[in-house]
Amino acid sequence: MASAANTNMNAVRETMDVLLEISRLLNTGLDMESLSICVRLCEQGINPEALSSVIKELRRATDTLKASDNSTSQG
Amino acid sequence: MAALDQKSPNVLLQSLCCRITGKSEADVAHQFQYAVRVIGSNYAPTIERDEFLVSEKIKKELLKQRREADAALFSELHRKLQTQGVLKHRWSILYLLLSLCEDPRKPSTRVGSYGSLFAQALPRDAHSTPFYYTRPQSLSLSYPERSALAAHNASSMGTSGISSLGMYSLNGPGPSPQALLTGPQAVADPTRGPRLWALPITGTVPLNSRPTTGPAPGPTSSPAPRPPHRQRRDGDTSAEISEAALVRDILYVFQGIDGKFIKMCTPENCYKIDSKVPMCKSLRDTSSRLAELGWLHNKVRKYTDSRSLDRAFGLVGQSFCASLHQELKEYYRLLSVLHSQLQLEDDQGVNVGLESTLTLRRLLVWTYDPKIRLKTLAALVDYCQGRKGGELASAVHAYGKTGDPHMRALVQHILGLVSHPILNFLYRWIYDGELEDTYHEFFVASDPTVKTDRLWHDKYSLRKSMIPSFITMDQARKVLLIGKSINFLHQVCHDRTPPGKIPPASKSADSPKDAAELFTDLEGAFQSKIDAAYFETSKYLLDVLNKNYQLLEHLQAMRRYLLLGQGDFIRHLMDLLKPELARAATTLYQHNLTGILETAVRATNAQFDSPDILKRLDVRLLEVSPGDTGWDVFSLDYHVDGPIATVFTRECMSHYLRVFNFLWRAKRMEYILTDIWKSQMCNAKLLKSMPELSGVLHQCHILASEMVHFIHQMQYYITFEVLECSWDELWNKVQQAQDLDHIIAAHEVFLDTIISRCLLDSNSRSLLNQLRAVFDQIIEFQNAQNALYRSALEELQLRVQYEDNKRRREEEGEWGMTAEQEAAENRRVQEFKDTIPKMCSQLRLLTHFYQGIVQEFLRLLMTSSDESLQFLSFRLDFNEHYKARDPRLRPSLGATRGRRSSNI
Repeated sequence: MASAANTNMNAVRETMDVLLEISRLLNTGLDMESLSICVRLCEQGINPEALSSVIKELRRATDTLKASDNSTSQG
Repeated sequence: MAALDQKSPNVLLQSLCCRITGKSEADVAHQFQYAVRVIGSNYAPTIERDEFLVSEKIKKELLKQRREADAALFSELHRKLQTQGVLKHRWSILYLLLSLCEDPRKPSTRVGSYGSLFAQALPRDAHSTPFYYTRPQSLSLSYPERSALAAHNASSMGTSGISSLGMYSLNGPGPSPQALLTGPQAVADPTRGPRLWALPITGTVPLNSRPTTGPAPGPTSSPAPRPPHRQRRDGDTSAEISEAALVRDILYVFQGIDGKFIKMCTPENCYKIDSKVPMCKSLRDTSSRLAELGWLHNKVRKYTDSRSLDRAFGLVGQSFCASLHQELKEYYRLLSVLHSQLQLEDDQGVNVGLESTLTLRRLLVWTYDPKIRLKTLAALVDYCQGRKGGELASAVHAYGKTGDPHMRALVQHILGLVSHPILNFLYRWIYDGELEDTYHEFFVASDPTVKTDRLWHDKYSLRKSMIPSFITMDQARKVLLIGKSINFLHQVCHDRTPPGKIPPASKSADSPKDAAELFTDLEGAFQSKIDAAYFETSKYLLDVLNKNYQLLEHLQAMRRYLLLGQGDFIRHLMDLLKPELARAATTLYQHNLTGILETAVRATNAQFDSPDILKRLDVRLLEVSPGDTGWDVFSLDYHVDGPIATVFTRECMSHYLRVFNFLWRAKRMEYILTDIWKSQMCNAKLLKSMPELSGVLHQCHILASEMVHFIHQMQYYITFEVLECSWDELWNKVQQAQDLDHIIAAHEVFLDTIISRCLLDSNSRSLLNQLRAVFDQIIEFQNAQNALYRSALEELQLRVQYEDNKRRREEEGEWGMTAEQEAAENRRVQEFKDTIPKMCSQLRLLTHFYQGIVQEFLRLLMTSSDESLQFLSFRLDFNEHYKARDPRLRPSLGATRGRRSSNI
């Protein structure tokens, strides 16, 4: 029982490694944690296109926020 | 992991927001709100759920960035991923990664548009809803259900599209409900992205796409649901039947089941609404219009039900039924969606807004497309009644000629299924030569009673009615020929090697879709496929016939032996046969003649022919009628068997024999005349001493040269104008022939030409009779001249003997002769001289008859329509000798000329 769970864990880890590698290849900019969140979301049947647009949007927002922070701190 | 998986998507989403923005939960409230809305929307449900496609896209993307090595690496990783099988939605995660992919060399431009949108949207939403706090309940991520629905739609659109309603309901029947519900804000701000923001902010969702499963839909900012509408409507129809009840009824009618109010009226064969039920007229009209769908459904259903059990209906018919079933299935799917919606409404009671309920009008709109499809199907069913096989395919094809692209696609789809069995038959036939047509649906028919020796000619035929209209007659003939060739190779030539290299792919790649494409694209692939198979098979067959069975050699042998092409052999044979053939026909023995034939072969150039050909050469004696000599019954024969007999059929051989007899006779005349001339030359000197004979001999010479001229011209005509010309034509055609049929046809044309040119056909029977008479005269002349020479030579010998005696006695010193002897001698000479006028008159008679016959022959030649025969007449009468004698030749010639000039 425990060993089964163990192999399962191994498989999951391997899968995550492979996905991380692909992610790196594609230059997605996702780290391990966000990637695992995304994988879980996808596994629940989330529309990946929507998810990707959300991520892009969040990044964009963060960038603009940072930029404005920078400008305010400079100003 | 399993435990972690239990986390709701919202929690995950929130942590994602925190992770990316790098802020705490409270700070990312706005972003989270946005994210929830985007994820929860039915944003872009159109993407393909196909892992392979996505992976291909990724590879393409990598290649576009000129990272071939990485593409290979990716394939490796992807394979690894596939083997592990931990993930259920691999395509999904791959798709996500792909859409997040950024070309390291250039900044992405796509994100920009979202950015501005996002920046605009955030502040406005900030005041409208305290969304964040209602998060767990309000966000109902029913994505799997919806995506399943979308997938179903995508697939059904692919095949038939009958459930086009699904798409309507997903995207909302129209823009109006959202516009109403989102209220003044949405209307006031047109700059919002229509797709992204057209969503209702609240849990009031486009119905059936989001069955809210949460305990309490907690919309706070949305306008209150509007039960009043519903109540008012219900109140209005309280006396009559409510529309909802009618909708329920109609849904049953759609499936061909009688409803409560709408029932099948058998005598009139239509659905009728119970006239006693009170109902307003518009509802009544609408429901009768809708009921048509049920009627159409029944019609199609009845056909498939009755036919699918009928085994004799054949494969094509069965696949037609199957395609109808498929369409009906799509239709049922639509009905089930409608039903489930109805169910949903019942469950939710009056909660759902007016705009999203099922009404008759809405049904009318939604069932518009399915109705047209069902109508087409019903028309097809009507049209295909009583047809089967290729005929059925033709009928379906006829319906594909419509301008409506949807209808065309539908019919094309059905046609693909229907023609699939036909295509299977066809491939089996043209690649294996096998006919697996139990129900006589294919357009090639086979007659099992025909033996192998007539296989090529009689066994297979085209079934004209079963040729589908999308296959041209020419193609059908080629198809027939291909299979026939294969069968011929197998059964007659016993050649089991598969002809050439059949592309194995073509056999497997004939799914129904391909079938339709192949048949509609007649200019291209299908034609080339048939052509390729045709060339391959025909070429192989001809090769086998030429190499293994020496078809061309046999053809040449026919020419040389039966058509007297091998001159030295024929001459020698005639020399050897002459004493035998002069005897009565009944005394001839075949074995004697066969021996002579062999001697002739060995003595002439014929011995260099291949033994196979010489073995087939034989003597044949025709039926003997009383009084025949050997010349009349003798004939050469050539034995043919096996594959060769397909070209040299029995009819062909009988033609050859007729021609041989004619040529043999003409040759014999030449031979006789040569003999006559020889004896004339030999005897001329001897008989010089008998001046009283000179007149008769002169007559003989004149007649003989007349005959020689005639026969020479005839021989020239037969040899050069008939045989050589036709042979050259035949040889060219045979060299260029692409299939066996071409050779057979060319050969038949060749024989026909020879037969008719040699005056052997029924049209020139009178000419042939004259010619025979000429030949008879020649033989008679030979006899007469022989008799003449015999008596003359006898006389000469007696005279020489007499002189010799006289001289011997004188040398012995006696009297040369006694008076008695001299008187006897003189009497004998006188008697001989007396016979001369008799001979003269006999010769004159002969000449007269002969010339009469020749003149008649010439007259017939002039009036014949064949140009070469007219030319023959000019050559025979080149110095107008006969014309001067026979007045009948002059007007007829003039008439011919006149007719000719008038024609020109």
